[in-house]
Amino acid sequence: MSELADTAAPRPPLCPFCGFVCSNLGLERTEGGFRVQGVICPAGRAGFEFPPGDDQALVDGAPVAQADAIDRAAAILGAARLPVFGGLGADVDGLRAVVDLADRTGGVVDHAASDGLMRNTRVVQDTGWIVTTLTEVRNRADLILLVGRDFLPRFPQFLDRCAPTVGRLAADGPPAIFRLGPPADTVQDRVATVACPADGLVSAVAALHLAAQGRAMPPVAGVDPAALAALASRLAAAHYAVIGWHAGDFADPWAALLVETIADLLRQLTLTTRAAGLPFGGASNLIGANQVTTWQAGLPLRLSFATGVPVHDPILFSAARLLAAGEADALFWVAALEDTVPPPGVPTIVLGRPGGQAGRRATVFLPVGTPGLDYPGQVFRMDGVVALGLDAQRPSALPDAASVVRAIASRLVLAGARA
Amino acid sequence: MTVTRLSGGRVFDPANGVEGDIRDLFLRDGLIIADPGPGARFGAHFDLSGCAVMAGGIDMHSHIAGGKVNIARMMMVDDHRRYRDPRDRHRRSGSGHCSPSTFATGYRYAELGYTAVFEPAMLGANARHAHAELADIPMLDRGCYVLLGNDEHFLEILSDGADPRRLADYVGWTIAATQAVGVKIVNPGGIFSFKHNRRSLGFDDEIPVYGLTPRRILTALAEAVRATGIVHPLHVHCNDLGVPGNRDTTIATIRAAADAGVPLHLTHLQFHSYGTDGDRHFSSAAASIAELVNASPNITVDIGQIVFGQTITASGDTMSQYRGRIHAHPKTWLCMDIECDAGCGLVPFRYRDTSFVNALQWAIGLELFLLIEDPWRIFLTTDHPNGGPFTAYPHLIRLLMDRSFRRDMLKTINPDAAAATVLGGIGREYSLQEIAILTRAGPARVLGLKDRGHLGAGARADIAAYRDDAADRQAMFERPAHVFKDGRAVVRDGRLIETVWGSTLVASPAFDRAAIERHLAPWFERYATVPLRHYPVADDEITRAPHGRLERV
Repeated sequence: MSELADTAAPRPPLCPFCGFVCSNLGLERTEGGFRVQGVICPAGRAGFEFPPGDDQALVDGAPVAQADAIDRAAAILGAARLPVFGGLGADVDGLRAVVDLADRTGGVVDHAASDGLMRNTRVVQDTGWIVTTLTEVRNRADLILLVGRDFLPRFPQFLDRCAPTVGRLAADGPPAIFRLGPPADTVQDRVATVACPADGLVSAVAALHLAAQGRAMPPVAGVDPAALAALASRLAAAHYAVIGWHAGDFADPWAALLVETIADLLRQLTLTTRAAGLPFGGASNLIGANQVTTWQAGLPLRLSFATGVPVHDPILFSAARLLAAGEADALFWVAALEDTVPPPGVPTIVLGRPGGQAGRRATVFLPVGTPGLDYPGQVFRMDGVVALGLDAQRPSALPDAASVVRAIASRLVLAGARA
Repeated sequence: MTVTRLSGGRVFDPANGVEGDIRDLFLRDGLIIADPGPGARFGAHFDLSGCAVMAGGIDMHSHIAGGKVNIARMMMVDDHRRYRDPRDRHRRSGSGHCSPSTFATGYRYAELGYTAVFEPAMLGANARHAHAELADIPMLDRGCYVLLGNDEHFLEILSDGADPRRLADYVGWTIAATQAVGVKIVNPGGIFSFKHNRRSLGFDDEIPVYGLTPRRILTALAEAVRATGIVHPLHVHCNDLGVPGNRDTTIATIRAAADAGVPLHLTHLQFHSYGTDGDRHFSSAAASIAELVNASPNITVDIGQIVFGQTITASGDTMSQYRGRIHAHPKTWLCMDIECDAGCGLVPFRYRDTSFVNALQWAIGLELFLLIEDPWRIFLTTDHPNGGPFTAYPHLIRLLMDRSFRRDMLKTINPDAAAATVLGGIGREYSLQEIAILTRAGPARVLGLKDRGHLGAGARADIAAYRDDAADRQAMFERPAHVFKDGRAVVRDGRLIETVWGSTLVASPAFDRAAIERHLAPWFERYATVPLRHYPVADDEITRAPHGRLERV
């Protein structure tokens, strides 16, 4: 027996645009694009149904041969004192190539959606946590508590995939589902809301932690004490409670503290029962970008190679901060998945989807295909464990991000000490 | 193609019965060839006189890639701030001492003369990630053992009447789907039980839901692995890791294998050889364990020797890692339940020579090395990074080869631990030939690598030449004079001179695919969050990576 993967028969498509990596989708080919059938979030629909655009390389807005655009990109990077590699919306191999290029050019690496990830990473580094993954939640959770504003509209397959009413290994019924957070516009039948203003979430979760210790719960402004006490009892009684959050939704200054407070609560519950966290997020292969950076450099996002060695700092090496502060002098932006727009201010090289917003103001625009639509690739799910192999869904002449990045690297002439 | 001649070295090639003879080696097209005879012309010539020449080192148990290793890197920011490697002409930049980045891992192993390393705890759910990381480890051939035995599909088949054919088909399918070269079980039933809030699990305790015992799970899986026809026997991380008195569990495990007539590999045996004697109720059980291993030809072991200093423990054994969280240094730890498949736990740890327990762990590992008689059935490991980083191997080799050095070290550890070990009374010193068995020939044999771990004609030209230094074996093994990978000179005087790329080694199990997929399809449909057809890692996902190469053993 050799390999098990069938490459002959087409597999059902996977959605590569966020960390939930939905399946159960149908793709209907249309003039130049796709129409999605099935339950899908707005970002996924936008990604699949992206209108066709001109796959023409541009320099300063004018059409050029791809080789000339690559040379210009290499020249910009070669002359830069501190290039920033941002966006990072690409498959694993594209990210490999970007991190290598950043290592060569002494650049900084950051992802367009990393704000929430940094909050989570700091908690992993400072205290650690107890977490779980989607299949575990589906089959084992008897209570799910979502913390923060309602993010389920962005994960519309969550209830079916992770809290089904049938199809669980656990013999008991489906889990009870609560959300602690500001009231939502639309209410999900199965989700009971414990209303809590956004700036009261730290206090409310800390109160749940006190209750889990058997201590009195102090009042939390804007939260019904009886509802919070009932939630505390349910958490204590659950055999496998799962607390989910989307750290990208949290607001500073309390965002990181809220993640840490959730981690404290999970540790406390685990002294007597089982409980685990489920961090939501992972837009445009954010988790893949973090994984590739971590294994190649030994340190996670956000990361700098500017001193010749990898240095990690979640605040200093924010792409947005470096650009706003005028510390960076070139931007290399990859948007092969979601059409994210680069921050303005410096000469910018964009690898993006033809016709997208990402390349509108770029100094150099290089069109690339999208993994899972135009070429095969790998992306990570939000739990950081499962990576999935994506198939091409159409014949495409567009290059993959990795090939373009490597072509730029091969044309690079470095100035000064790094030469 | 031209022939390369390596002349004048003392060759230690135990697989071919060569011990220290001075002879020339000839390389062509990445392989070792027979002496081409007089008149042959050589494209290159390396003078290895004064060197001990061995096959490239093979580390059969080292956590170098995959989910938990990458979490370790994220957590160990201080360690990665202290140990940073700049990019240079041959290397990518990197960082980390106990959980180094992928490129740094490859370079450092090569600079110690190693040419193949095996990641021993790949979760099926994480296989695609593990292989993506391995693809970024240069210099080495590499492979993975896939975890089974805490996954609910296996437990369900076993509790449903345990058709051995179906178990074997499932194991074979999993090996193929995850591109593994072996199968490992971690704390049989224990990772699963921790998800049901069990905090310990003895060898004959029943797990929740399925009512199976670790004994039953272990023996059934060992038989299923054998039935697939792969060479490496079931690789076992026993129950009760780190628990004083766990020698009883280890002995019961070895006896269960004998009763079932199956071979086992017991990994990081040091962590499973503890008694309860003495005031502190923690003692060495190495002598009794070694005696049983010596009498059990179906058992191979690696040690998981500890090294004093900072490291991070990374394990699939969530039950044991959760227990160990109170010893975390620095004070951060992480546990994860994974995909009804397994789990992982990360606990940073600092082994102190002033600690009675740590010092005795150090002594227990060395006692096992010295009391287990057959070098073909014992392999040199620190269970990197759990006992300490692999870069300590030259130091450990000196401890094994030099009893006066060993006794000097013994004087520096916690005196109560020194008094509690028989180590000072053991005179055995390993020979260079035995080191070549421990670190090359033995691992190749237990993994079924026919063309690695030896220097006969037809073998891969993976070769390490160490300048002989009887006075300081550590210095000798820290800095090989030459290392060749697939016939190319890649290291000189302990420094990398060229980056090359090895193969991913995978097994070729026998199983009935159609039969098992009939059962897997509805199971995936009902319980999994990944479609069945997206689970297997395709060959071209490995070969499409830059420098990707796949080799079936």
